[in-house]
Amino acid sequence: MNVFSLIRRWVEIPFRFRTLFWGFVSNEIRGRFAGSIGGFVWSLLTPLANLLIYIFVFSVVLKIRLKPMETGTDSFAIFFLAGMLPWLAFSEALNSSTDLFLGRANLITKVAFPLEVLPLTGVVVPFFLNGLGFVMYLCYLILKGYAHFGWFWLPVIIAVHMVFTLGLIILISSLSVFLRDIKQFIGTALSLWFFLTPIIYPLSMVPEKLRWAIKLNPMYPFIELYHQVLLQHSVSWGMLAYVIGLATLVLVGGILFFERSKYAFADVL
Amino acid sequence: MRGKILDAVEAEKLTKQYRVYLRPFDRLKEAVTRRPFHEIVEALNDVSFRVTSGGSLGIIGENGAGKSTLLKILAGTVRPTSGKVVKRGRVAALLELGSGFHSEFSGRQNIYLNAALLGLGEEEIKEQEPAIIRFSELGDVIDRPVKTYSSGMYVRLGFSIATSVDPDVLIIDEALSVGDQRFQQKCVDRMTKFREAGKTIIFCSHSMYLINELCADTLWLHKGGIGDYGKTPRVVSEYLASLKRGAENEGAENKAASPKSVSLPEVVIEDIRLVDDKGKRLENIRQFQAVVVQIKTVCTGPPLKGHVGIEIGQPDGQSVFGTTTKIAGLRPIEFADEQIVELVIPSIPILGGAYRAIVSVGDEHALRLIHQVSSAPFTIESDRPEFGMVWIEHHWRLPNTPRAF
Repeated sequence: MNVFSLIRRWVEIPFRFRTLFWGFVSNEIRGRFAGSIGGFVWSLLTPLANLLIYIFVFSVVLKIRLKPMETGTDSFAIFFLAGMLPWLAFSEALNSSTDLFLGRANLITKVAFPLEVLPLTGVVVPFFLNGLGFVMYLCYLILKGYAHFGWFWLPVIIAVHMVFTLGLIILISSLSVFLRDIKQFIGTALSLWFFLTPIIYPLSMVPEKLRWAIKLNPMYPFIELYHQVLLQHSVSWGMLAYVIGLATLVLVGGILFFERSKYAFADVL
Repeated sequence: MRGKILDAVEAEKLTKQYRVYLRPFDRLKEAVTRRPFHEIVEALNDVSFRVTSGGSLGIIGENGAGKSTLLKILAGTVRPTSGKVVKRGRVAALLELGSGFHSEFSGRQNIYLNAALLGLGEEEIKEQEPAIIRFSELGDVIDRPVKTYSSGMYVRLGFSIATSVDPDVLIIDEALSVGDQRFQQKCVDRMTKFREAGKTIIFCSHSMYLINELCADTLWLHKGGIGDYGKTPRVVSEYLASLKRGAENEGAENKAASPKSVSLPEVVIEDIRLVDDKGKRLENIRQFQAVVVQIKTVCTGPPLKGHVGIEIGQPDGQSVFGTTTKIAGLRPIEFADEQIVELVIPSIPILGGAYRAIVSVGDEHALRLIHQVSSAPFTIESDRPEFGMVWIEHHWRLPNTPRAF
């Protein structure tokens, strides 16, 4: 099978196995809330509390000042949330990816079904759950008068971001089957990655000599694009092309690794 | 091309080797250095068979003989190292009932995902839902989270979903071992109906009774290879004979060692003896003599309740008399270790001839047969000239004698 037919298979999965795919998605979403009294409320309260702490520490205590010329806003909260909300979806997807196959060992060895639905679910669910907060954030921006036609590019950026995330979690979830240590390591890696991405600070605050290093970070262009499209009403075409290339590369890499290793899953699990 | 009916399942020279790494680190070392750091364990070796469309195949064998591996290959979750499987039609595999259930969700919600896993579309599931719930008999609790279900209820729901898929080939692994007798019977009935409807069944079980009941052909797996393959009655008796031999050899080699986990019946009838009322072994039995049938049972697993039955018959199968401890109204026997059950016949009224006693052990409902053994033939000697099978208490009244009517 060549790469194109492999990619086509992945694209077709949610449609060909509609019931199964949406079954997994809705189970996953309802599963978050099942068994707890607060249910849905917790899924809003917990990230909200986290966000407020960040905003308090960095905006009130450490007094990070933004230059509207560079960032498009002088409000730290608005700047921070533009990058933080997409990051939350991304990091949540990665964090749970180690368990996508590993946590379903019993199912995978006992029932024959297209395993592709698992990573696909793993992307759709965190983006959907965090999407709720993101929509509220957009409403707030509209109230504050940030709305702009440039926002039409937002779905494109989110889509590319999701493809990039999908590629990564296919890779991580498959690799975790063979290297269980990844599970222990992913949390630390994500919090390091978070602080090395210009989310709680603008790139301009990083000493000039170190900026190249931050720019190597594959999440930097994504976050930068979110900032640009939401707050500065412009999109850097070069950067968009770059992330599309990046996402394609990661997706192809992930799919190829998955294809090579998937038959061994049931043996190892 | 041979002009014959297409086989529903064809397995050709299936071999499965697992790489076993002693430590997880070895796997990494091997990936990096490209030198082997594993041991090969062969779970299946050159197994071929075919099941015709509408046929039924039983799979038996001791623990670790490769049954699960074979079933996983048939279900498609595991790839054989070499060889191939061809399956025709929709295949539903129940390797474990209720795998994939989400414990926080209700039974009804679980029906949806589980049926989708087995390949059903949303419309079909909606259509099947009432039938699934009806068959599972969980109507009252279907909206409760499945974590509140007993294991029997779990199994009932799982079985109902899997068989509602209406597969062409149904692969079942020991699925009926949980659940009460009545539901087991329901499952067996449903599988029988499947077979009658021309569907194909592959069934793996430790219960020789169910294998006999459901499968025309049987494959006996022995240490990854084929022990025997053919008509069920022959294969099953070969298998049981080999188990018995194995147990005897083991006993001879090492009496003190606990029996290895051979999948013997839970209770084995080890010996049947005919003795007289003083306990002396009987070579020949005389009519109207006191006879005690001594049945020596060995409980191979944890203690178990059950009943014992005995049937005395002629070698051609004609039954003379049969009874069980349940018929006699006795409480179930608690089998544990080695025990002796005796049937005391103060005066045996059977007429002269050759006979044998078939002794069986069943579960506490006397529904499921655990083990059955036929005694060596014995003869009853009689100097009386009556004919038939049994001497019936009688006397004659002749004409000219006073009579009540």
